[in-house]
Amino acid sequence: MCSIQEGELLQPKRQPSSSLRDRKCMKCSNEETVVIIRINDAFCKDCFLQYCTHKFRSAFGKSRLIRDKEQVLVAHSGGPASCAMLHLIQEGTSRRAHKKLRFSSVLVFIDDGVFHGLTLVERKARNAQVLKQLISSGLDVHAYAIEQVMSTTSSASLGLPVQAVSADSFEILCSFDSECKQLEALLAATTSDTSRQSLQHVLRQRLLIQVANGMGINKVLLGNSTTSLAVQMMSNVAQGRGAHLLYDMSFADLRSTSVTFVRPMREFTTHEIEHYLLLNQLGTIDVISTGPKGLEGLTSDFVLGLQADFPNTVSTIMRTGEKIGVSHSEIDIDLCCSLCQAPLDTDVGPSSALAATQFSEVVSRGNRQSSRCSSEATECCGQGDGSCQSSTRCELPDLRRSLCYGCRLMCKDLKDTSLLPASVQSNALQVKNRAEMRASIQNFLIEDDDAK
Amino acid sequence: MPVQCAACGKKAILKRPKTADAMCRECFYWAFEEEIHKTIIDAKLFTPGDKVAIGASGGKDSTVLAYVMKALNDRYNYRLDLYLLSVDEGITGYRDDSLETVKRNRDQYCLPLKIVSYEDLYGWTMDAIVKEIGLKNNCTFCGVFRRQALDRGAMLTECNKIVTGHNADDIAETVIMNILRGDIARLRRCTAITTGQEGSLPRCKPFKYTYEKEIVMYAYFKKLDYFSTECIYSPNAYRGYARAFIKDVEKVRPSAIIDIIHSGESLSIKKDVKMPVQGTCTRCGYVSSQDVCKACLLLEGLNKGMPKLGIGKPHKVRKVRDIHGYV
Ligand SMILES: [Zn+2]
Ligand SMILES: [Zn+2]
Ligand SMILES: [Zn+2]
Ligand SMILES: [Zn+2]
Repeated sequence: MCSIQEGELLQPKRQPSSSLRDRKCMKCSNEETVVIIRINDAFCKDCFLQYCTHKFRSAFGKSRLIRDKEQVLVAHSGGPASCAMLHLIQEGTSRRAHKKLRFSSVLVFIDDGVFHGLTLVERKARNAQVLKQLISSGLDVHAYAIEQVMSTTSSASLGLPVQAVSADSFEILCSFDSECKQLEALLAATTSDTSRQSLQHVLRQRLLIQVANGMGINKVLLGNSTTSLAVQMMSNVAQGRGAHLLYDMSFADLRSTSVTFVRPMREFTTHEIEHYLLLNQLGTIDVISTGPKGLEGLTSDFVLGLQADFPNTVSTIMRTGEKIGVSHSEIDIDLCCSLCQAPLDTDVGPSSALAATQFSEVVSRGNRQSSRCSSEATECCGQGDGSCQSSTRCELPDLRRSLCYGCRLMCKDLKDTSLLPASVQSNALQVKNRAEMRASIQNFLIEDDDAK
Repeated sequence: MPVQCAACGKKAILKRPKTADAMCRECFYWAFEEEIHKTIIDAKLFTPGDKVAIGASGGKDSTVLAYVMKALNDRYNYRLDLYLLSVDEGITGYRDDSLETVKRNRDQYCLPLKIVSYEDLYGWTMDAIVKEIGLKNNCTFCGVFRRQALDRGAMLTECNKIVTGHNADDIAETVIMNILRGDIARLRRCTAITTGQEGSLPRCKPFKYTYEKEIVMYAYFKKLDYFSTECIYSPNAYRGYARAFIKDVEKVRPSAIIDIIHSGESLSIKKDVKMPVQGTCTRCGYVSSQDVCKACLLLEGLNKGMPKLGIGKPHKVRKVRDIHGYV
């Protein structure tokens, strides 16, 4: 059957061949244009920089998310978007700024050398290089190593180096030996690039939440550009994370109850960021640029390839994303994923992709009789006597039940889920305990019909 | 040592594209059919006594659909009256050959066949339309006309439901397409297993969770007779990008097709996003969000020698019609 839908043949616009020659600035008619943005708008240097500053500040102004004098964390990866964001913040908070940004910033750098397979020597060199640059911004700088996410200490007493960076702290970052080994084991036990990549996203986000909690700060600014968000959105759809698009790409990500992630760069394309850095004579700090791998890498190639031919691609994806909401108006902490902390999207009933997948596994492995009771067969750990319930360390079935669809997929590629950070295990246990408590008092709860 | 079937332990002859499990032929047939049965039961697609028109194009999807629908109807006693329903778009060298396949299917499966043609319904064959408008927008005409043609054919045979052979790959591809095109209304609809509002017949997709590769595998081992040429008038480049993406993604992670469908099922559209209101066409009575439906509009354009009418966005169409004094 031909699956072409009516109306789908309206093709998106192709890239007009535009060059800067003979173009005037669309704002001030200056003839020295330096950049073409959006589809075909030429700008001179001054007007372009003004456009950037305006865009950056209006994002904060419109949302009114951050109060005057509030302290925020600024996550700095060392990459181009982070560098541009830092510069825009500094400009915006400087005394000469026109519409001043009124929050105060603390920079956070996470040494993720383990993700890139760097040696200790390489990590030390990189940390020194990045941190020296960050310190020269004059802002408070805090540095952590990604392996600290494996730490067994609870977030209140995380024991992370919260003091401003000195030469010594470059060394401290490489001193979490046992956590480092645990993280390496976890990554090694993950059998696909796709899952390793999404595990890294989740771990980074968990550590940032822990850090913010430890410092008593509840806003974290991230440097995601429009382009990277559009790629992530498509990649998340491909990884079954459609339910969480709103969190993954909105200006304010409210999934965590204690920390809000804010994305002030979400209106900037990578093209604009490049030119912003160039015109301000700024470089990127970090030299490591390993592009995304696995499914995310593939999606990146796909989206950027389309974008080259159809320059509306990224903005259309973003527009689609903005119209997609979340079904739960209020987040129920009991029903959040133990890994990525987004609301669970697994309560979907029998006629669903999730149930169909579970059934496929049963019919192609189990014997013919057992497949009839598919839902039970896939959920129990196999003991059948409830022994998996009593364990203090959460075994796979319980853990799996406390994960969203996307994180379950990820854990399928993980040979041993007990390698996950202790905090994940305790989250899962908590989800399970709360669910049991709720079940035991179920008959006495008055359900709101509208909530269903 | 030969590879063993994951289900029964006998010698395996294939690896399931969906789960990567090694299976023997019999267990694969059984799993394949059982999954479709589950889809039908869980989504409550049918009630006993339903007269169901199977959209039959002669291609692999609809051929396997007809075969499996008949088998399951007999095995599980759905008590359905099944019909084959074909649309003859009037494409020489494509549809006339594929209709021969459908006619053989009619005899092989002992199912009644109804053929409705664009020529009878609209007075135009696709060949004639292409002659008039060229190869640029022909799929728009074909898509719009087919939608109504299936409904009308089903009503002629007094069917109350239509099933089509759209498979999981098609649906995943459509999810990606609709995101790329920013088509929120379709994005919301496209993962529904049953579509069709008041005024048109319900359409179901029993293959919603069935992989295209497994359909080919099933047809191959069962030696089912199908017609495998792509439509000669199908130059839709943009959908091709989405299709290529799905194929690439499937190679990296086979479950991705179902995962994309899960994403589509769990997207919820923000409340304040405007959705088109459905009414009926003032000319033919078919469901339409405009006062004149797309098919009537396209037909009017063809008949008045202005085939561009009706192609493009609705507000532009209104403008063209205003200028030319059409009501
Ligand atoms: Zn200017
Ligand atoms: Zn999750
Ligand atoms: Zn077998
Ligand atoms: Zn009409």
